[in-house]
Amino acid sequence: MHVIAYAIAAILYLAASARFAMRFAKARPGATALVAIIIFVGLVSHIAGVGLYWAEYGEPPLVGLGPSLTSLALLIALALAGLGLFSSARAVGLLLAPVAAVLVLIAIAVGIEPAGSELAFRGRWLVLHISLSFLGYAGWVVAAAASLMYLLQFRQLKHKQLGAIFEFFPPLDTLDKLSEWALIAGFSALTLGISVGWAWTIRFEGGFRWSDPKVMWGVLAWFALLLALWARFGGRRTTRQAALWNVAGFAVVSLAYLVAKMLISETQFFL
Amino acid sequence: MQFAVVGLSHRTAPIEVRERFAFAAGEMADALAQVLGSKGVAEAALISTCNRTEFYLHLSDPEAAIPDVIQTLADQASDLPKPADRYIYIKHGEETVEHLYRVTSGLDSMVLGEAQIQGQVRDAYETARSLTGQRQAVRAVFNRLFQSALSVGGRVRSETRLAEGAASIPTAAVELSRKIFGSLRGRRGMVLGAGDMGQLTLQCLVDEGVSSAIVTSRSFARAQRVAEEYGGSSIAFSDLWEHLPDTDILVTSTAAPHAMITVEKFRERMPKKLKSPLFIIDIAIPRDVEPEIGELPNVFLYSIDDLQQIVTANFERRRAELPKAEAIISDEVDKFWRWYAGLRAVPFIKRFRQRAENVRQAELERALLQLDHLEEADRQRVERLTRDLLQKMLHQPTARIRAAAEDGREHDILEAAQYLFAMEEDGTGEGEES
Repeated sequence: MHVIAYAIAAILYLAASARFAMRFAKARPGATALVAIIIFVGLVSHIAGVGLYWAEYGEPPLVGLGPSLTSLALLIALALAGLGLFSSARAVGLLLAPVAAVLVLIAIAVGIEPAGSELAFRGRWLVLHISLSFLGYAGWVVAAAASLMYLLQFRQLKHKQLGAIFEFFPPLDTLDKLSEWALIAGFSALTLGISVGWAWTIRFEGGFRWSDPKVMWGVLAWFALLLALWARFGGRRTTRQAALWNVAGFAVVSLAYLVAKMLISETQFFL
Repeated sequence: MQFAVVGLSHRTAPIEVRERFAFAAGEMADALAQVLGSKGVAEAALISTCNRTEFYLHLSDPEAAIPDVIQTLADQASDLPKPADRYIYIKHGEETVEHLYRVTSGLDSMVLGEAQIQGQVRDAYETARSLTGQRQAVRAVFNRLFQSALSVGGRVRSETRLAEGAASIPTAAVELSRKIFGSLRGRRGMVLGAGDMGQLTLQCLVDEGVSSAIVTSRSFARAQRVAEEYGGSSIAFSDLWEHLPDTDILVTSTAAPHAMITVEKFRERMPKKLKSPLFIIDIAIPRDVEPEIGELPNVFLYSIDDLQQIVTANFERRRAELPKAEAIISDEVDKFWRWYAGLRAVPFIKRFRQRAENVRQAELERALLQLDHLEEADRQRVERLTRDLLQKMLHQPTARIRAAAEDGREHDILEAAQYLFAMEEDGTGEGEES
């Protein structure tokens, strides 16, 4: 039953993506009330999916690839709906809506059910650790989307190519501020998430499992976020360079995830 | 009754002529009162902007009224070297409605699609509405005409892209600034040189809420004067480089024969890496800023040609929206005209309903005389019954007569109705009821 709710959410996110794309193609800035309604209904369906999953398995959808992706997608969709309140930043939905849709679709494809290997970890601490970490990743996705749009808009303005991107994308300053706030929020949440995980493993396992691929990947993501923040606040880099560092870091960490996913055997649990 | 518009605009008269015909805000009510005093003027409104002066009229006797209105206009511009009627146009009937709709939508504006005219038409309507009593300028028809015109203006702007994109060099500069900085509130602007275009751009930036507008010029006195006029501050030309690092938007418009801001000087005096963007709008000819500066990190340099390209592209895009706007106007003119045609049936409908009401009252009175045993509450019930019955009986014929009039078939329908209800002998119909 929860899969149907997730599927409806994915379809609605896709519809919102199509609407954003249409407006982008026509170079009409912002989004319409229709998009806001579609996203809202999608969110309702998504939250219903979470509720149904929880009722069925007795735990929130946080463990296992499929459940994790749906939760990450939910946080991104929530950010998308939140941005809808600010007319100047709505256009970021052009990137966020398809990301949310694709994550839910992948989750449906791989199966939305708990992974058995992690049962031992379940409990309040794990829920907190995973939720905070996902919040961190969702913040980073928003920051990376805003930074990517910043770079594209910057290029258009610099080269005086005032086409659809110029018309549809938000102003540079809006994208920069959005990226900054999302980075700060993302980094704070991920730091807390990792700290909680660390404390848990020290308490129950006697130490941090550095050799665990998902620990390595999580720490890599944390360092990449730290670098993106340093590029922004430390040193004397321009706003464009800060955006570039953020996008590059996000790309490297995403690529590292895909490589790790391909290399690590299915018997070993990796996110 | 007939509609007419009498006036002149940028299409028929140059600025030096238009400004003589223009009525100041304080003169408009008197001018309207004068026109309303002319024979045959039932309703009137006056739109007077820098681009047009037009009297909109609802006339019972056009032949008597229009020469008087032309005379009112001619009196306003009495010192013209050439006759006033050389610049004046007159439109009649449906053309008047269409013209007002086009004006309100910005289709007849000098800058196609500009939005300011909507507010100016609203002001003209409000001024006309403020005249009451003997000098009442706006009644049912002009109320409907102007309200529909404002609604058409809104429709055209929301349903087409006619008002989108900057349509002048200063507004293009502001549009670009907004794409870089978002809101311009709190941003720091500087104007180098005080040419006309520079001042216009400065005005736009000040209107957008820049926190500081610094004016500098080779002539400090001129810089001071311009700064005072626009609520900015002035600095000596030699202090330019001290203030430039703190500037977000620089507008240059000097008449210097060579570049005032060179790459060499820029590299020497500005931070190596600008942390936040610097937007330079160079509207001087020859250019004040060396083009290589535009290649430096975080510097956005736009020349007057770049801005002109934006304006031209926007203008082309606006022009492409014209068919859509024209279709909306045509549709709305049709709607208004149908409503107005429907008014032709109103006198007949009034007489028809009054006659029915007279019959009802007479019959009710007669019946109640025979029913004098009824309680007061029952008498009221009977009275209400007859009234409701009459309303229901008359609703369809009334609606259909009005619809026939809106479709232009009122002649045949009214003739038939007059015959059926034996109302031919009524004349104006007023006599029978009184």
